[in-house]
Amino acid sequence: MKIRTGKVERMLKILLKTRMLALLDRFSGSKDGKKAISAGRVAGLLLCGLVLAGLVGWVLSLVCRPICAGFSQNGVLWLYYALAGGVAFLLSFLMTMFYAQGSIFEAKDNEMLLSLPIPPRAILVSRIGTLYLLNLIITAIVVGTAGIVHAIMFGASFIGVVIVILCILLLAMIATTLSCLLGWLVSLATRRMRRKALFSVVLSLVFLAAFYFVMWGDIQGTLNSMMANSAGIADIFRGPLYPFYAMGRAIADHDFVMLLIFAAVCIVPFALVFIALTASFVRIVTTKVGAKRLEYKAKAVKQTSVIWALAKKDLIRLGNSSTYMLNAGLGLLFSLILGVGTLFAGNAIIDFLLERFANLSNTNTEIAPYLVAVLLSFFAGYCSIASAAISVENKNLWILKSTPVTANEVLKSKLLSHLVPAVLVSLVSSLLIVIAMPMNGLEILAVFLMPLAAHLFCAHVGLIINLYFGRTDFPDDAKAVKGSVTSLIPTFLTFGLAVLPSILYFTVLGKQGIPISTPILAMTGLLLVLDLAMFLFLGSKAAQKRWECVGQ
Amino acid sequence: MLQIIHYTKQYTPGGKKAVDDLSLHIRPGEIYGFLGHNGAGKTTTIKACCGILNFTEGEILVDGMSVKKQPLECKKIMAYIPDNPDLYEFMSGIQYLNFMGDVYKVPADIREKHIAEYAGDMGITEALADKVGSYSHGMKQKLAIVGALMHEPKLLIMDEPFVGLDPKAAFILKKFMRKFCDNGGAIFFSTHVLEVAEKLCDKIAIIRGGILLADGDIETVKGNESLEEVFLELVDDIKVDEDQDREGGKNA
Repeated sequence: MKIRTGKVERMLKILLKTRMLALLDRFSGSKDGKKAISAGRVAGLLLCGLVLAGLVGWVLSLVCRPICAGFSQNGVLWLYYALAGGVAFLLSFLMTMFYAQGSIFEAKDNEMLLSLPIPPRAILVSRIGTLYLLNLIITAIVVGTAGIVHAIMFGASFIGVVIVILCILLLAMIATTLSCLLGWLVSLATRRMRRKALFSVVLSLVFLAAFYFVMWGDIQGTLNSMMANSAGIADIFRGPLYPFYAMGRAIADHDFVMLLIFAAVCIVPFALVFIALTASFVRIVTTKVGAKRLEYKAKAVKQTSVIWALAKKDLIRLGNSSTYMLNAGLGLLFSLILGVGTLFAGNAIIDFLLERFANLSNTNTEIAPYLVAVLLSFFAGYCSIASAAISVENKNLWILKSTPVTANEVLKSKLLSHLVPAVLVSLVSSLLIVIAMPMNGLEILAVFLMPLAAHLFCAHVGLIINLYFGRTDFPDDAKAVKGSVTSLIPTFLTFGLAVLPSILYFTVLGKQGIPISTPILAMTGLLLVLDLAMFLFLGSKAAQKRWECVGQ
Repeated sequence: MLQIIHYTKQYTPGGKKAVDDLSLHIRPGEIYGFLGHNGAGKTTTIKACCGILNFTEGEILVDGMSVKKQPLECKKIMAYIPDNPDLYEFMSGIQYLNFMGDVYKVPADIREKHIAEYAGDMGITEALADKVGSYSHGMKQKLAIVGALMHEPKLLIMDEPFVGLDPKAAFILKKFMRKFCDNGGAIFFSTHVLEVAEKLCDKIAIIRGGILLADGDIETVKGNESLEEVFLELVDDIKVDEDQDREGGKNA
């Protein structure tokens, strides 16, 4: 059956509109698309997006100004744009790589769309188009800011503005091409994999580390060394990073030959990947190569308690979803990194963190152990297993509701599923730090007890908030964790209570000669009292009644 | 075994009644079919019987115990199989069955026996090591059935149990249902498959718009007509014979 060109265009328009709405829906956190997005809401979201882009641009402009001035003075303005291009590419690639995998190769509606009279090319264009738009936004914010800063400082010509816009449009193609390729590769690699979640977690962490390195690394130091060694960096750009060199030259010198070279470097790989994907899209998305089937061998089973059976079920759920693991257990990872890092790098890692986050350049060794306790307690806030524990039940809620399990058993099991990994990691991290840092008894007590109290607090508050305000209609676990406001409240409450003693010490108590151990241990005591109160509340009739209302 | 007494359900106070004043009595040894169109109130009633949904008025008793007042005691002796088996996809089949065994406090030796017997009957033993997420709809349905039988319930409540089952599994399930009730159990299930209801059920109830239209022994309800004819007459006000006569008249 041949489909007329006009029809294809119309279909493509509809598909693109659907993708855009899905994207807006994702950012707005609406109730899994049950409610149509109104024009007012779209306008509101766009306005929020613009404000956010403006804020990010403003922060970037602070970094851009000295580089622009310095490189312009050194006669290497092209390097300024080449750097902006490199950063824009890196950020957009890191931020859209997993989106490419999920939205192109593993989209749930691929088969449904292929069954409709829509050419596969149109489906692919709509998907790649959305990806390109995301990359374009990121690229526009970074390179656009660089261009605006340059224009404010040195003025701008019409042709210069046009070249910058063209370069932004072209640069977004490189990130799109690489995101597509990597998404394709990951999709192929994980097809037969049994431990997909673990693979995704490791890969995500690598990219997350790279992202944090770009965002939180020693930007100023890097910039200073760049300024001092701009010739060496320029050589790198002329070599392996030639596309960015071409872009920089095209913008800085209005060099049309360089612009053509840059356009070719962006368009040709993009076109090749698009052709390759068009040719194999149907095969990629319809080939079912499931993980190898395991042979079942009957083994002796062991009866366990209801609470432990429920908690074990939740722990299996956690271990099988990379998104759930990453979003709910990030704090545990940070704690472990801190523990292992301290063991191997001594105080260096703690000095670095305290300098970066608390602006303490000369860390007093007497207060360092207590600040480590604060840091570990702060990380406890990043652990939101319990705060999504009821929401993640959504489609499976009928099992808990139709089986003879009490509210008390369900709620205690939810606490256990949070506390088993949290307490374990907290104890190991504290132990590693205690081994690495010289401490007295009181300091050791603080390093062990405060993070534990914080984990207990985060778990209890999270569960109570999720019990009372959590939704159970999320389409999947990932959305229940990521899209849930109830996960954020316990996080920020734990952050606040964790840092409060140190703030009090640095602003008031320290000046009055009160040692830091006093507010730290007082906060630990307060947290433990709150934990006990919340634990008792979860066993009360009020909590039981609330559980009975969940899902009604 | 299951008594539904003047059961009424409103999702919103003062709103439309999803089910209005429904009374049914399912005795031990009976297979009781619950028929009605989509949205008639079948699933709402079934979920209320299992203690998943609360209700506005009336009472539901399981073996003489109130679902409202003694939910746990009721749940211990019954099992529910939903129409869409949304099981824990992240677990393997065997993990799910053991989970159900733990939740119902089934001793390990009895559990092992049941898993071997029921999973074997349903033909899913070989897939028990695989993740539930990799199962087909029919396999999930079979696993849900095996899980529901782990604690030897006295009452089985099933919502469209034959949807997604292959002919062999459907045959085995029908045979099992009969055996289960012959041994003193009771089954209350909803279905759209009128032929199954006609052949399998001892009693049926037909519901439309939340109101009970007919109930009782299958022979009494259908009389000399087929269940399909009675159902269509009651639910859709279609007089099958008259229509056919009219068609016949026209053709003549």
